[in-house]
Amino acid sequence: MDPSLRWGDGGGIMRPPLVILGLIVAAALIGPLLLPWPYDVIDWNAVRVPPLSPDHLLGTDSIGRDLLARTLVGTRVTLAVALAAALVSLLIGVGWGAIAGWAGGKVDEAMMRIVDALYALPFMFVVILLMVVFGRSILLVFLGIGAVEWLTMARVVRGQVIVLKQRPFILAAEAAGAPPRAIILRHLLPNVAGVAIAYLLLTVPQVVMIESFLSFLGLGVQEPLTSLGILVKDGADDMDIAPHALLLPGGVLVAILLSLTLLGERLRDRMAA
Amino acid sequence: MRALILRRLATALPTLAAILILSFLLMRLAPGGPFDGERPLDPETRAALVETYGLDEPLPAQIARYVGRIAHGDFGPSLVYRDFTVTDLVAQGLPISLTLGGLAFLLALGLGLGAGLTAAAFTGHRADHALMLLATLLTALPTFVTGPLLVLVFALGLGWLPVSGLEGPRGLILPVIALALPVAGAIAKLSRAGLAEALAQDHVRTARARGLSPAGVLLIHALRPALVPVASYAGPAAAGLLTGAVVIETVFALPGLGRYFVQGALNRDYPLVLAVVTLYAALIILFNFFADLLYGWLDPRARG
Amino acid sequence: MTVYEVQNLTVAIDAKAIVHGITFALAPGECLALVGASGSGKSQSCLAPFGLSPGVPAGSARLGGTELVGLAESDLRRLRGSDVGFIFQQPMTALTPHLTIGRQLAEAWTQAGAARPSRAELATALDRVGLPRPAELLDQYPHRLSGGQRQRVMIAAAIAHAPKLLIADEPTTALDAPLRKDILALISRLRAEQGLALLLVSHDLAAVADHADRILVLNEGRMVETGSAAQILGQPRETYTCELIAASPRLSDPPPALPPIGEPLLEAHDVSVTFARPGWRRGAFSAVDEASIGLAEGEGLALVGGSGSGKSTLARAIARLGPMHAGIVSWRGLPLPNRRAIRPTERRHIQPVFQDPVASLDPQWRVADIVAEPLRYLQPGSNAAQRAAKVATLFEEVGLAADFALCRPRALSGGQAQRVAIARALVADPKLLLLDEATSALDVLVAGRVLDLLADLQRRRRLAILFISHDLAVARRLCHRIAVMEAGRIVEEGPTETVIADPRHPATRRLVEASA
Repeated sequence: MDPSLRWGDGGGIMRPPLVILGLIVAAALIGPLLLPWPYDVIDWNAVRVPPLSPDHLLGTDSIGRDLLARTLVGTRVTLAVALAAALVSLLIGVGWGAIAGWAGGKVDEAMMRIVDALYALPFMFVVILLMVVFGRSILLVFLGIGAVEWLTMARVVRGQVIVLKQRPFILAAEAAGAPPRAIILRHLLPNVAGVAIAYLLLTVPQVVMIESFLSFLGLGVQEPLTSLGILVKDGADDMDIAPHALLLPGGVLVAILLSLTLLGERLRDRMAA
Repeated sequence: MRALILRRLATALPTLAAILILSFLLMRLAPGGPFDGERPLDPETRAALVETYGLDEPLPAQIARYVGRIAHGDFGPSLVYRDFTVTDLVAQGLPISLTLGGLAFLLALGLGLGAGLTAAAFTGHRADHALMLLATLLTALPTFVTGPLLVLVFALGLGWLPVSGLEGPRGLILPVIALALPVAGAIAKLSRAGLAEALAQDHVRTARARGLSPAGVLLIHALRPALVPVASYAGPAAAGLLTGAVVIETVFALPGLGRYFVQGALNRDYPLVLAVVTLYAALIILFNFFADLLYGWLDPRARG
Repeated sequence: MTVYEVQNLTVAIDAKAIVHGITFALAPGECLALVGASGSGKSQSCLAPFGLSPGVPAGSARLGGTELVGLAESDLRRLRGSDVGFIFQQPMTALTPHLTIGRQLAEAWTQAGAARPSRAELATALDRVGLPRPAELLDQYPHRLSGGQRQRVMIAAAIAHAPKLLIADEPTTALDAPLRKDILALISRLRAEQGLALLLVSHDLAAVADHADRILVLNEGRMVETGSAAQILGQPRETYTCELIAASPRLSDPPPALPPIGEPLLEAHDVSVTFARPGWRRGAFSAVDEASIGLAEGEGLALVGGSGSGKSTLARAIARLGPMHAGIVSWRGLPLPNRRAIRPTERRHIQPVFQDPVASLDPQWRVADIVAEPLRYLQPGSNAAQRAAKVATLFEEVGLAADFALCRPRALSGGQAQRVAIARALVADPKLLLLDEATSALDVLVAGRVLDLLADLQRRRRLAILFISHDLAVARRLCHRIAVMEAGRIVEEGPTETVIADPRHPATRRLVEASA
């Protein structure tokens, strides 16, 4: 593993986001298992309870559901969707970009023209359109969001493959007798992996935002499941009376997005150097 | 330059055509849509639909008819707002959305360029780090978080501005700011990176070696290459603004096209949804076209 | 009267001293060459006093009486504009891409405080530096011009305002061999015409030998030796200077001894390579047009020519690392299959070493694995232990310390990386080594040592060598014969010394002059 990516070096800017991200992920994974309160129990006697109350650490929302539990579950869902969608975009993007870059010539031109054309589309709207047409399944959420973000990955990977193709070490591998499959697997992909991972980290915040955005509009994850987007919407509806319902999930959302963005940018800058 | 324009048109027009045809096909194929016969429609609407879309004609004719109607600005009747055609709704909502988006873009450009170029001028100093951290924070804040937050602070908290609605121009201030912030952050980062890189180029050293003043070097030799990444971003920025406008209009209850779109999506008002998608796609293509022209002006090597 | 006088100049970057106390003086019309390996601080010592480098100068540097060290930036700026002209190393990036040539050139006048020049004046300036159709060029953008043309524009801009001092920082390093002579000759001529003092920085002693009045040799920021050109080149006193001179071979040196030749190995007949024209244009062009060459055991053949002559294309076609559309290549009498069909048993005969040492090694791999890779495919019977032993032997043979085995390429210097590339090329015991400008990207001293290694290997292993180069003096060290290429055809061929002594074809003559 690249020594410059290890903990000690350059920890300055990478450590805080990593720590925060780690805490959030851990909390999201383990938290709901530890809490005695379920996240979907409606309690009309404890409506809009402020935070730091005896039974509800972060308070409750407009129909009495515990906010801490809801936030943790919501974070889990948001992260799960983000990861799945980011992986979708990774697979499509790397595949598309690598093939275009390696093939070159007319194939490359055609594939990239398609990417250019798609870049112009308001993809968000197309996804919503598809959801309207085909209904709101969680699968569609994964695929749709992943399909929005693969374009940048494809461009970046293709660019990297083209640069690498010119490098003499690829030709040297051929001279050493390596068959094309070995060259791609053992020389090309390892050199593309770094860039792909950096952009993956930058894609995840985008995906989180899209998912939250869809949920905010009521088009994403459906009840009783919750996500940070839904929580923010509920909180926004109520914010004149119970601002904590907005600020707490909103804060977690921003923390996730910010840490991922900082990490991804730092990684991307390292790769470019 | 002309070659560039022609090339861009060659890509833009087929894309637009493809979008039109795709939307039409989607609409026709949509399960549970008005054409399935699953939903009971009153005879009036049914008749209107048959007339508008020529449902009794062969498919290519239907497509031609559809494209023809769109070319005339006729998007058919709305399925939800029974008294209005989609064109009516678009005519009502589009100006508001465009104003919102346009103002936000200008604000984002001003703030972003200002912050980015200032940061680049102080590369490495604390001002640079602070501005860039702020810019990153702005890009990580979704509009549906900043919107309510702004309302919380400035409307509910301080009472300076209206909470929602479009009573007068004051009603646009918070929405425009909320919409502009993420884009401003992105522009700030891009322009700072662009300028920092431009200043490190060899040709800048040549200009300095010729005795040019710092202002001269910046404005004449470094500024145009510095703006290249910003120009590349113009397309995605427009898409982002249109998308963000949808949220902002919902949060601030503005009667723009985005809000109609959301309502249409939730209520399966296909003609409306399709019209908005088509319109927005066309707008973005147009915007990208101008962005490419700008790029060609900034960097003669791209003119081909 | 001295134009430029430097006394005990030191330059520090980030508080670390790069240049330690150099002293020299330059009179009008005089040319002083600052010579040294890369990293010796020669560029820094010229640019830092004028505020054009990140280095901080200390000591004294006087331009016509004005002390530069400690001078305010605004005053330095004025001096840069009016009294000094600069020519930099990379012509491809030195001009602003979004401004026309005329616009940029005009700045040279305005910055010197003169009135805006007329188009006629600008065209004359371009004409003086040998650019054809100057009036048309004024409205062009830099990306339409070649490297050589851009450098001429730089020169025109540098001397336009009749400066007293011209500083040329490696002005020809990034250019092709035939161009180098032309550009240096141009600079010298203009210097004579205008009576400029010229400070010429270079890593190539041989190149500046004809143009410098005095030479100053630098090593790691310190002055090694200084004196008149004749003195330095003819009677060098310091060891380092001697090493530098030995490492820059000249055609006037006595011919080196070459190992004897064995039986024929490679025969290539009427090889042609054609490419489709890029972009919209129709038709194809011949990169290589019916070229034929042959090589015997232990024999060195130099393929020389300008850029675009097809030498790399031909060599790669023969080595089955590039396309070949017509012709026959045979190895020991048996035809060699083409690139798609070639088998490992045939691949091992011909192995390449490329120009850019670091780019020819996979940055994610470790050195030991890089060197062992050919064994995996070309000697499939071997196991891991045998391969490791072979790699260790090769390390010794190319002079690499064993502890480089676990390094990644980024930790290697240019010379070390090239040794790794050579070890990799030799590990499967080939009989023909293809050297594609293998020393051109290396520093002069490093290149000299790598050439020594190659000559040694050639002798010990009886290697045939196909040596691509634009530099005849370097090619001599390894090659018995020379084949000169131009526009895809072999225009002259013969024993090295004969071709050099008596070149027939104009292309050959140009090359001989350029390397002289």
